[in-house]
Amino acid sequence: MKKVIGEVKLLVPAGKATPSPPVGPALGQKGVNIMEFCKAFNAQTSKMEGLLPAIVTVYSDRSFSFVIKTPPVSYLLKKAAGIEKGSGEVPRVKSGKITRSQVEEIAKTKLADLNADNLEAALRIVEGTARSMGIEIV
Amino acid sequence: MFRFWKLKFEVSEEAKSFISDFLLGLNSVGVAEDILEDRGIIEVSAYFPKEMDLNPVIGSLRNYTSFLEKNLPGIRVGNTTVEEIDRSSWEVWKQELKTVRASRRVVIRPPWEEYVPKDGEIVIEINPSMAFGTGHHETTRLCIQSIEEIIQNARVKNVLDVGCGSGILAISAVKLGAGEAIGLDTDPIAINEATKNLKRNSVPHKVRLFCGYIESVKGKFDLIVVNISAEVIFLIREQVKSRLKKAGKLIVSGVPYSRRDEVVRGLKDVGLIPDKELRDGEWVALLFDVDKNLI
Repeated sequence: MKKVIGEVKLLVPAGKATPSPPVGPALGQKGVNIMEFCKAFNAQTSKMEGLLPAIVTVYSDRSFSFVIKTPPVSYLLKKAAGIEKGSGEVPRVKSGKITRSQVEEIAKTKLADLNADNLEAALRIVEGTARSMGIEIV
Repeated sequence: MFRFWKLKFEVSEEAKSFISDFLLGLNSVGVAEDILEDRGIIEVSAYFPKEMDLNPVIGSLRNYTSFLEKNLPGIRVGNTTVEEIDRSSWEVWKQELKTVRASRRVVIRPPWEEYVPKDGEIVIEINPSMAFGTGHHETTRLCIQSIEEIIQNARVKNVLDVGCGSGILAISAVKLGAGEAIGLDTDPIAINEATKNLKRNSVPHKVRLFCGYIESVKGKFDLIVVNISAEVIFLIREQVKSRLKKAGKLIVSGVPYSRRDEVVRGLKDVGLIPDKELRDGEWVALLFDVDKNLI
């Protein structure tokens, strides 16, 4: 079995990975053939839409494999709140608002990826993430 | 150009997924998790564009890590360091690339490798960069093999390379005997790299490059190559067909074998007839003729 030397996570537009950033800096530093990743990613995601998180496992011989996941909680929160970035001065400065039902929706979407045993635990993580970004739950 | 902030810190195994996920949502262009085996911890590196203000990110990250440390047992996040990196630091992947044989006659070498051609061989120098086409991918090699076969059997006065990337296919075509070629790409970075590769191979007088879309290309061609993806092939198939001469040939690639039938059907619909195909692993290159009955 090949030895894993690390994992790289990228947020890449479906079907449109190019050797430019973000693929270049994150994968290039690990010695992965960027072109090969782009071709494989684009072929697999060409029928999908939006930004997709790819988890790329890098092996000691510089080969790789990857899986596509659901978008990050922080990305879903920003989208739900309609904001570009989180607040850097929590709790003094709020960056946006979302509703309780939006929090629940994100928790359900991410349940499988959050290592949470149940919806309640997932909700707690989503709420904590929202607070860290200065997003108010109303 | 292409300068980045690299945020780096050590985390416990339990924290890595939470932290990476969080940073990715804060506009990081990529997050890498390295296993520091000797110490049993993970080093997380997150990359952000140089023009981005990192203060909100660092502020949010600080809040988030204290939330995680309070609520999830076993989670530890170390101090953050910030450094500036540029393109040179992430182009280490290039060092892995060696000289590669693309077809019976064509050999592709990166600038740092030497290769003495044997009888009849053509050596093309391509600098692996941020443009597609280093010669190391199956689809590039399949296209070069197809180009070589076509030029060997018929006179090819002009070639259109759609999505030319590094210019590797257009350069191969003229080196193999095509009269001239046009390389077209929507990515200005690719056109910039291709321009340099034309000079490296002494063919700027034979290959013209354009940054733009196929709609802006005038004239008809003996050979058109589209090595992009099935979706783009569908999107531009009418435009491609209308730029083929009566006896023109089309090579399409960038297509996984699993989607071969779909692409064949799509191109038949616009009056192209499948001629032959080449396969390498899970990738395929398909050759088409113009349906003479429809002209």
